[in-house]
Amino acid sequence: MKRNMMVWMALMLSLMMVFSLLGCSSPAEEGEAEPVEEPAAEDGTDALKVALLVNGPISDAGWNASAYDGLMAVEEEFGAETSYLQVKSLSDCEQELRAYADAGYDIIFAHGFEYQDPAEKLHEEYPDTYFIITSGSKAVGNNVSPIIFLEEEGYYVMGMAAAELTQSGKIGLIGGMEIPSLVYPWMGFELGVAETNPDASVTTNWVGSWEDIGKAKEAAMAQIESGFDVVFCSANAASLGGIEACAENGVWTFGAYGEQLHLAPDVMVGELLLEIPVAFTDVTRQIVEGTFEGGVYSPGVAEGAVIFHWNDELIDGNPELEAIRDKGEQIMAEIRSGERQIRSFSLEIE
Amino acid sequence: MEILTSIASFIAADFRTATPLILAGMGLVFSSRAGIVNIGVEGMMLVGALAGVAGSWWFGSAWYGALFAMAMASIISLIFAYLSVTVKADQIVIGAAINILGLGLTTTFARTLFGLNTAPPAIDSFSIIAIPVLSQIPFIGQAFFRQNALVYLAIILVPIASFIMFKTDIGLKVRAVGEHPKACDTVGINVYLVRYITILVSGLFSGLAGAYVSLGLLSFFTENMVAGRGFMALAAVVFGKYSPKGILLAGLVFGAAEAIQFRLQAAGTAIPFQFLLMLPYALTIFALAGFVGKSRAPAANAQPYEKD
Repeated sequence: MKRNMMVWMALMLSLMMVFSLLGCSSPAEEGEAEPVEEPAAEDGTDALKVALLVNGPISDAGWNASAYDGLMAVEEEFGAETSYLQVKSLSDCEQELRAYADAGYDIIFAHGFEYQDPAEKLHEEYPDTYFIITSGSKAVGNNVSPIIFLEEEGYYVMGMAAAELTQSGKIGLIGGMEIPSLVYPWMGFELGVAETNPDASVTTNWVGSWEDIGKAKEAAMAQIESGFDVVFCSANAASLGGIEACAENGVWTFGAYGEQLHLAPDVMVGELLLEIPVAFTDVTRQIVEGTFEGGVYSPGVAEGAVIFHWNDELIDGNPELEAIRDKGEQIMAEIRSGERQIRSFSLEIE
Repeated sequence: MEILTSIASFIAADFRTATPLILAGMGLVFSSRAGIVNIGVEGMMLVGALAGVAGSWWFGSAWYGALFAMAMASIISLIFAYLSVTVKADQIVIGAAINILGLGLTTTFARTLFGLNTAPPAIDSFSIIAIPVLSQIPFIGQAFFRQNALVYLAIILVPIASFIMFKTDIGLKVRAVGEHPKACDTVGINVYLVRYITILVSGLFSGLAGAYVSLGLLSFFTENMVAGRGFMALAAVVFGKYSPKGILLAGLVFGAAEAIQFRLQAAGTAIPFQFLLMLPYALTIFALAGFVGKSRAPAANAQPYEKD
């Protein structure tokens, strides 16, 4: 019996080792981070200096790659002197922010909520530096500002489409874990469903993992077998499992945060995308023109930062789907012109 | 009628979820009985999962993929065997190291082979085989006879493994080596050879189980996709009292817990989802805490054999 306990303790230990390894793998695996310095502008003092801090490789074709695109867009549009750095671990965030602030950078784009706390600590020391935190939680002073995308505007359109598509009236959402950045934007989805088809119901289920694709697929299968005919899954890598379940069973689905249409071209009606370069250039423009007043910067559909990309290959030639796309584009146009307001749930996160 | 359909789909999901545990368990039962605690099974399954996808991609068939997965995982298991049997290092430590090695190897090779965040290549995977006639029987057909080939294989393996373990000389030798290696050595049984072979068998089956995760449940590889199923398989071996039939039942109990929790979530039950998510793991703890009776490990469990 005692030996058994040893075995179990060892099991637990090895589990912990595996997970702790995973926890630190993404920033650490790229080895030494190297700042890429651009040559200083010729006239020296006046050039706008913009830096970017990311926590993963900029070759990830997703979150970090889009931030690098954003930095390049800023460089092109404002002739800024730019530099980026891949931070090795979370504990280095503060030190690297400080390094850029010391080097006299005017704007530091810190690409992730993990920079919120270090930026709050530093902002008084560096009053001339703007700390812009993507997905940050709150504005502090007049030089720490989070960028919070109004994803709910895009999710509203997705919810409308789901409500139009469902025959059974049962719409399923599957998330990796119950975190604010899924829960609040998804209120927009539920609003879109409720205002389109009040008889349809939305059920939200959680996988409990961001990488167990098999589990995400079973979660989607459980919904599909219980009669759900529109299922949307957002759980980072694990989403692939949910999307595959929809593709195999001919159930309507959507994509989000990355090009996913090719994963299920026959059942994925559209996908929600965030345009990070738009947000970065917009903030930079405000700062350069002196109109930036601090606070939360929350770009949405109107700024072109949240877009809904329809699967035109699937939709073209199908009158029902074309009608949904037309309606969706109509809603987007109304949001853009200010005729329609979608409640900004993401700004209500405490 | 609707309730029957739900029950049938629940049973089918149960078998789908239990299969990787049963497949890996059929190999683990031999190494465990020979006195080896193979914690490295998680890493071996991961290697199998990637090798399965790579094999299917290169050779164009899921079956070749599964064979390739078994071959690659067995190479890893030989490393484990060399370190734990020949070098006599601590099995738990080596097992943990194998898991980390498996995670690192598969992540690196997956990125090299398939690139970062690019579309997974279209590969042949195990598709669902509806058994003629039987699958047409109402309820039973939907519940039991519409699965992919590896699920049927896992079920067929159970009586075979059970027969080898308890009715043949080979099984007797394996069990004896786990109970009293010294006595075995005295009567001329090569303890090292028996342990090497059982570890190899556990490697082969973890490879197959890994291939089931990547090619049977899904049709692509992503990092750390095995996600603890190797540890669950180890738990199933203990829970199943080191017998193939017990492992089958244990696997089905774990599978049922998972299948029911997603169905309860989908039904919008009032139970908080956190409790539902912990169901399979809570069940494991309750089961091991003595609700299934005492599970007796082989006497020479986790002890390296030292020849005098």
